[in-house]
Amino acid sequence: MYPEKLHILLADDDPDDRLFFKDAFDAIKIDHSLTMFEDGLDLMAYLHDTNELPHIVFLDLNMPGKSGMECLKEIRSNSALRDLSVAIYSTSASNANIEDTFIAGANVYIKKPKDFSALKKIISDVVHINWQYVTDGLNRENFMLSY
Amino acid sequence: MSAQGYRINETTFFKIAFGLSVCLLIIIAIVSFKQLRDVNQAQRTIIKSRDRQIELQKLSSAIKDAERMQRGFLITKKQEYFSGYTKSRKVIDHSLLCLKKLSNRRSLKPQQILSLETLVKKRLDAMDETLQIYNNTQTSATELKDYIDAGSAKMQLVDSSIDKIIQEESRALRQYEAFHKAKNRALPYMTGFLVVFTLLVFIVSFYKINKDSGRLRDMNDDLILVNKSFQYAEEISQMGHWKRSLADMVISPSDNMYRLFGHEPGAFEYNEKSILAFVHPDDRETLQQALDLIKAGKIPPEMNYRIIRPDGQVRYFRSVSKLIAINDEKLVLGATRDITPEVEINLSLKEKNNELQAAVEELASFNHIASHDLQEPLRKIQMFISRIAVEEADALSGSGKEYFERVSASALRMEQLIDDLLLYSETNKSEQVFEQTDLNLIMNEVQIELAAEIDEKQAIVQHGHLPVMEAVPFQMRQLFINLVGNALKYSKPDVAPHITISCEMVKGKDISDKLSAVRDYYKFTVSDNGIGFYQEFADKIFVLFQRLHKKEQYSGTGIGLAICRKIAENHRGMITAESTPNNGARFFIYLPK
Repeated sequence: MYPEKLHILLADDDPDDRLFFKDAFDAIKIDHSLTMFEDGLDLMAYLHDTNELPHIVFLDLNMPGKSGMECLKEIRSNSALRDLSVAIYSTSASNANIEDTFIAGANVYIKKPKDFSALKKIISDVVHINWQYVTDGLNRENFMLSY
Repeated sequence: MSAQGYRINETTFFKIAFGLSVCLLIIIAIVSFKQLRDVNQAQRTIIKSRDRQIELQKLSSAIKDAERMQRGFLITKKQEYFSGYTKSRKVIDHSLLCLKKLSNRRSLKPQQILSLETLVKKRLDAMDETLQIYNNTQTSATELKDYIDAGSAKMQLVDSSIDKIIQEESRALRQYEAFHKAKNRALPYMTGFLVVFTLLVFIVSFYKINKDSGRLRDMNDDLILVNKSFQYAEEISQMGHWKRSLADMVISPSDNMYRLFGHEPGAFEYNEKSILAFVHPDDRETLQQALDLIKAGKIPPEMNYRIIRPDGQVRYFRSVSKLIAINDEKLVLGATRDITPEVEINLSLKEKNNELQAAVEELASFNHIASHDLQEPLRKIQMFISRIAVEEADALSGSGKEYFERVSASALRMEQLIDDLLLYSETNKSEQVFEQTDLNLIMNEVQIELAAEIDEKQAIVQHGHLPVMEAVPFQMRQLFINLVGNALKYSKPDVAPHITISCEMVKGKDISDKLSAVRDYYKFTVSDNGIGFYQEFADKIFVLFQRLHKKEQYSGTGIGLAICRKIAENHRGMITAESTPNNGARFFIYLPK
């Protein structure tokens, strides 16, 4: 289990999606902190700089500068960041994207929902997930979270 | 008959006929010559025989003349009788001389002449003696008479001797004639026969020559026709051919070769240099290499090159060649074709292909737009809709709420359309992996996928034993999801849907000319007891965005069956439908075994 206060990061270039995510995050009234980045470059710069690593990183795939996929690969190849929990958070649910990110080592794949209440439920679930269990039983069947 | 066989037979025949004719003519010539010589010989023999007889008669009459003159002198003592007597004696001497000349071994032998001469001499001596006695006056008349009598007796001896010789001569002549006649009796027949036979040979030969010349003329006509046809064929097919003797390297082209180069036949001297002058500078080296190969007795590979005609037109040529031997002469036979139209078609095809490639790429990027760029704003619209519906519902008026529900329904419909379109475009993708697919397993998956609808409508879905076949698994799943889903959707409101899927084997040629006539096909039948449709719409339902019902009645995007058709076509099969309103529908899918 995680400590009481979780630190969560989101990298998404779309302001509306960042707004939805923040609103949903705030709405579930939990005492965790959220930091958001407009692209992968900012996210990676923060990760390389910080002393305090986050618990979960939400990654949009389609971003200018540095894509979510590139961020994921960079995280998994960096010994300091390797153990981060990474959730892919994308509009696309194409098989190719799911396959590629699974192979690259993402922990879960979330298709951006079209319903606000679904978004709240996703964030709630992901925050409360038993990450140890997810990481251990890593397989394709429970990789994809859909609501 | 082959040309060669014909030649051999003819030659033999004419050689035999010629030899025979020459032999016969020589035989006839020899026989005729011999006959002519015999006739000449006979004529000469006969003339000589007659001469001898005449000479003998002359001798006989001359002796008688001498006797007559002697008697006349004895009686009349006239001097003229005496000189007549002397003259007769000279005639007798001459006659004897002639007879000696005329004598030969066969008739009138010299000893006969000699004995005759002796007799004549005796007679003449007797006459001389009589005359001497007569001139001696002492001789008595009686004595004279004795001499005269003795002379007459001698005269009779001479006469009989001459007659005998003449008779012998006549007999010898007759014998000779008879012998000759017998000897030459067969000759005219033989000559006649030879002449007739020779004529026969000539007639047969003439007939044969005439017939052969007719046949040769026919063959010649045929050859001319074949030649002409070949020339025209070369002209219309834009082809030419050439021969190059490996002995002297001389190239002999067909007439059309000149035309291919844009000239009249024979307009220029056809040789390596003149051809190379026509060839496009960029292709000259390639052709030169090919020509060098030919000169080395090797065959260059099939090759393409360009030439420039005198009017500046660039034409594409393709040449092939082959080493052949005709009458022990080795030569290279080549065929050259003007392939400009094909090349041009090829070029335009390539261009079209590029355009098509560009269009496909454009379509792919359109798919990307549909999949990502269209989905994204739609998703955000739906997100805002969901937030307004929850957070701002109280602030909306009654009609505002109604409009808002319609906005929500439209967004949902758009989502469906985008999803289906994506599905449709994905069935187009070329990278489809065909693998052994168990359709029984696929049907189980389909039923799980549609479990909610099946439960809701209390539908019965049954399938018989289905085959394991080469197919793209996810497409087969999509096909049956769409068909079964379709049957569930268009069920009668108050009747539980009953959907059956069966399979049988059919022959392509029995079904449609769109299928391969030689292949066997699986025929899948998906039948339901739903609302059905009018048969005239049976083709329309497979067209993209074609719907038979109002949106309010039955939801649907009009893409599902279009996807089914696409999947069937991807598998080199086809799909058809059959129905009457209120009687359910049957869909037939034909997929190659």
